Amino acid sequence: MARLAYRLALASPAMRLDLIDASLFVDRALSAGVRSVPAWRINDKDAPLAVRNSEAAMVAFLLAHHGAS
Amino acid sequence: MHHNSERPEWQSIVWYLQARLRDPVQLLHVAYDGTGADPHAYASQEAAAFACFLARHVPRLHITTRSLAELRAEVPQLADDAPAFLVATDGGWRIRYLGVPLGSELQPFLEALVLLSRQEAPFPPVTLSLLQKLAPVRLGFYFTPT
Repeated sequence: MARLAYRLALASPAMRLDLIDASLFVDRALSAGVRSVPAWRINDKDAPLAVRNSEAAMVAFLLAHHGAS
Repeated sequence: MHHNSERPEWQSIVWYLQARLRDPVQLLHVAYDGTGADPHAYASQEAAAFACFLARHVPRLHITTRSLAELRAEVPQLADDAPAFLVATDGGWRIRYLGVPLGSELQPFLEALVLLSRQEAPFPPVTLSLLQKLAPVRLGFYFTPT
């Protein structure tokens, strides 16, 4: 899924992407509320379960909730 | 500075990138300097060796190394942890990898550098045109490399 993260960031000039090795940055992950990996966080909130493992669902979610008005 | 901890298997990275990179790509290696929350000693050494290796062997990758303390003066919003690798995009240092992009994370990292260098579209045109209009958003992806 890291591939999708990179592609989303490359496609979206207003996106900031952090890819975080949770095994190295344990405290950071825990304080972000991450309890299992892989995990997506969008604006520091959990991505809905339904979008986490699907490229199409992730793209659709971003467009629906963060698309230009 | 030359690090002696280069790994023989990294040579394949050079072959991969030399064959695919077109335009230069800028990377920023954020080195741990003892001021972060956790020393991450081994990862920091590995990150430094990896950055040094890329700088020496892949001319189209322009790599700068800054310590966490130095970076605080330049890009403070990105200077909260190390080791890290930042990728320069059209909108600044928008892509940040916290850790060392090796193991299972190496190939996606290299592919992203190639996409950026070749300015290849990461999505089909319709999807791309919509994603280009996203409002400012921060995406975090947490994982454990294997």
